[in-house]
Amino acid sequence: MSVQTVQTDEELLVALRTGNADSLGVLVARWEVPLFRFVSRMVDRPEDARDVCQETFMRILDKADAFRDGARFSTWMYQIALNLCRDHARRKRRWGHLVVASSEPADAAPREYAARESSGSSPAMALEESERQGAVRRALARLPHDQREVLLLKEYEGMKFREIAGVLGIPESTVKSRMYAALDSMRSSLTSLGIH
Amino acid sequence: MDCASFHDHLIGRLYGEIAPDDDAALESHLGECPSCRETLEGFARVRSVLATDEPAVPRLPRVVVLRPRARFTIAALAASVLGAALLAGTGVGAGYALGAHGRSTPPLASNPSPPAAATPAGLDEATQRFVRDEIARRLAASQAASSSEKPAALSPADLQAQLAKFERKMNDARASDLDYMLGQIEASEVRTGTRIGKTNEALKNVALASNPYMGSQ
Repeated sequence: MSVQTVQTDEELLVALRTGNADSLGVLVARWEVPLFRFVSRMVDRPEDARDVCQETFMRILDKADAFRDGARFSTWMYQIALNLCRDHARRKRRWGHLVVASSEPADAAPREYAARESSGSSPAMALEESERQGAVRRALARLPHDQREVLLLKEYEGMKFREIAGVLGIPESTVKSRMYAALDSMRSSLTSLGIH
Repeated sequence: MDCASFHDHLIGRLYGEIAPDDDAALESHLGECPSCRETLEGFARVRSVLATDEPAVPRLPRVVVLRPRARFTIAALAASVLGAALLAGTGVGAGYALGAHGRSTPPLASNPSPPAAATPAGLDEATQRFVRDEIARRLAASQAASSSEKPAALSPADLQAQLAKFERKMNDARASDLDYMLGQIEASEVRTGTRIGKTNEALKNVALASNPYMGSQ
């Protein structure tokens, strides 16, 4: 009976650095689903999530040499993805204001517009979602970006607070503060949406 | 101690990441603070809703297109050669080889040389053959050079590859912005029931000029 050894993510990245392109394929196969799930909750549209995921893997390939020995691959990958999500949010703000100026009444607040936009979804997705799931998604979309990051990494990616602090580059106490604020906001939002 | 000083402990308790001493201190505080008890119960309910009513996630698209590891040599050379092909006016089908993101580089503005003598029907094939030959030739030359000694200065081919890479990034950013803007306009149209019309068409044309893949999205 042969014994197969499973390479860790970090070993695969070392192999990638030495020119083994196949190891990237293994990393992609291992991480594309959780990464896409996370990113699709950080950005509004599936196609944007797809672009962010693709760019994340491209950057991993480009910057494999910059990966620090002893660091965790997943931490590094989420850092890259989060930075790209933030870039996306900045771009959205820039264009969002432009579109608001051309199509909304003058007294419409851009913030409200952004909230409504981000709470929208494609009809196909709406069909697959229950009313409660839709309410949770809308409540998540209302959270400030920094709180949403923490909540998603904790609740849906199952990270420890220490790991989240590593991904975001902030103290663990700040992570917990943001988590408190996020849960507080979620509680209010879900109550207002009739979810108890 | 006031309630705010127990916020971290409360979160720690909720997720089972709390030191025994902190947990004991929190327990003591909860015994005399109904407000914090209510908060803890409320947060636990939120967690339960997040778990049972997790929002749907769109189906994962199989779109990750990866370049080979050796892109810094072969792909950079390809970019350089394709840039030359475009300049020579024969680069009609060249974009696909450049598009790590599924987007192509539009032809450069300057076009100093006349097009090669190829029939329109054979243009793609001729371009591809030219590119393949050039890549092989330059790669062989590059490998021969690197096996002897490294050049101190940046070679024209390297410079062109760098320029092509920079241009690709610029085009990607522009296409991404335009793509996003179109999405916003369409969302506005759906929401307001008003077609933006001419503006939308104009933007689509701009986007198509920048990115031939936009039309198929």
